[in-house]
Amino acid sequence: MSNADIKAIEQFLYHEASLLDSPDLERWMALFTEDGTYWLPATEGQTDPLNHISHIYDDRVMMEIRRRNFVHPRAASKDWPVRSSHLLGNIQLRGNNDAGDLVVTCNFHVIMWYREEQRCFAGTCEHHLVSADEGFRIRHKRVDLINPEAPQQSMIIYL
Amino acid sequence: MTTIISTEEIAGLVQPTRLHKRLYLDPEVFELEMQRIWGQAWIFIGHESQVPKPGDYFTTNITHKIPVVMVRDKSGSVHVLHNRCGHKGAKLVESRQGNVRGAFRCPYHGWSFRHDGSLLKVPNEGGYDGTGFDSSDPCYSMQSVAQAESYRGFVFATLSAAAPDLKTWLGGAVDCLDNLCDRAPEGEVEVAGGVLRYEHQCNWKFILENLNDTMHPMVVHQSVVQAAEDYIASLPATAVKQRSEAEIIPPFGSSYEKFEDSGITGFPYGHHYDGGKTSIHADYSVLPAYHEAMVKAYGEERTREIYSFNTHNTLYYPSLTIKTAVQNIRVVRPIAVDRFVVETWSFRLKGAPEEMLQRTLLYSRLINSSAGMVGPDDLEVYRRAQEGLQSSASEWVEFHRQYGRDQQLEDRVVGGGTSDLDMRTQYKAWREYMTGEAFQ
Repeated sequence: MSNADIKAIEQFLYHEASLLDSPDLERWMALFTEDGTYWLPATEGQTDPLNHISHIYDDRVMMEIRRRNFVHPRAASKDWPVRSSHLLGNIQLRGNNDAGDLVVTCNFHVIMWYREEQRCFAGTCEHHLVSADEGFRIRHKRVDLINPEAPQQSMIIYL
Repeated sequence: MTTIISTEEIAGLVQPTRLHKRLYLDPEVFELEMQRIWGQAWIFIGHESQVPKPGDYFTTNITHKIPVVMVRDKSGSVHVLHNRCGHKGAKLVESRQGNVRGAFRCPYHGWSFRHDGSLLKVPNEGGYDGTGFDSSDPCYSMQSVAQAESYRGFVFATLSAAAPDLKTWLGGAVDCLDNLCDRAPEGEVEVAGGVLRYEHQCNWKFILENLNDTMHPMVVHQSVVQAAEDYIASLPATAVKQRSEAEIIPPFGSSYEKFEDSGITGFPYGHHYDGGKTSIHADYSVLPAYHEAMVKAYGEERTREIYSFNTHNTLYYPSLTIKTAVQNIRVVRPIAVDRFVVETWSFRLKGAPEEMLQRTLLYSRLINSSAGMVGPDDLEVYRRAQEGLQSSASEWVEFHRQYGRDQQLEDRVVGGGTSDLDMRTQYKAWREYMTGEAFQ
């Protein structure tokens, strides 16, 4: 893999994060493949998204409902602006998985402003990327918090 | 903590159709609640399936502060002990769960205790010879809580020796625990798939008031219901999988009429449920393989009977609320007057296909998760109330709906599904616990 390829992958991850920071869930969702999934596990080292609870495990169905809910004028929890700032680092290419998807991991720090409080999230992300005409699409995004078991406050948007 | 609030003053805070705002705002009222409600009622500790083997333990707090540990001994009995060394008082175990092998061992001076809490060994014990120290005095053991009992695997404990036995305390509301277990082809459930913990920055009573508050879903959850309905309407007829996944949400927008028909039933000690003959969970489709396993275990008629007892939320006041048709529970753990944590646990129906657990977990994720699409809107309105009640505009919160229309039966009170019968039921218990009348 050339330096240009690595640069393109990094740029794609930054672009994805910036759509969450905007927030622009419509364009963010469009980055996922039709069978794409987003996973926020509820425990460290979780291996199973279906037989163990998660904070979020969304396919495109749930992403679509979440997106429509997010912009609905009558959702009281969304009356407050949600602003986030993603900082990605330690980006590493992990090779291809059995499905042939490119596995990329990174560390993230997210500062989030919601309900007049500033909150911090930190952890690691794993992206499974598929090459597409327009660059990449996401088959799977996994977000492992450093404190997935802690009592969480309301999380209004994807990390 | 000594208190300056008199019993008369406490009794005056709860009137037949209104509550004083101090119930939500006053730290002294909260401390009294911890002593008199959480310190007397049967509190849900955990499920026996969380401690399957000898030495397995699970820790929690029975009130906002008092640490306890549920542990299984070598004979298979489950104990609920104070998580406190009989020596200097250090907590014996700190993890949320684990296994202590042969005995609890204090990390401070190495005192050890059997699984039933009795003192096993004091290191270098010669130093106590002739000092008057009596190692058989229970005060030097890990003491048991006043009473602990299990009902179909659900372990409750109370710090009150005066509390009636668990079955008596559960009363007619026990039907819902039975129905949850009966929905398993083998008649037993077990905790599965981990826990979600959701921090709520408001008074603990808001969530209990919300459980059977059937006037809120069509307002608070309107956005997600419309989002789901619009999405479902946009699907082609062939999108069966997408439709079945999305169908969990629309019942939250059920009409006033539908909720009214489901009814509310109240019991002594503050328990209540909405639903019975029907509930907003009644229209969820039944997985064919599950139905087959049920009919094989129970026969067609009994299976229908089990399905037909369809409740929405059941409250075992004040700590446990269960969803029988969904097989998850929420456990309330108060922390301060304006803070508590809700734990969501899911259950596997023994003998049912694994897809049933997956559906339960899907429900917990979408509805009960802090990142769900229902819970955050509920919490938002509780927080608005917590903040709005600081206003000097009024001292009182009202609950008049269908007052005077409740029907008293032998062991229960029944009323309309959109009534405030649930409020009347839980605040009657609040008043009885707080004024010392509950177990007289």
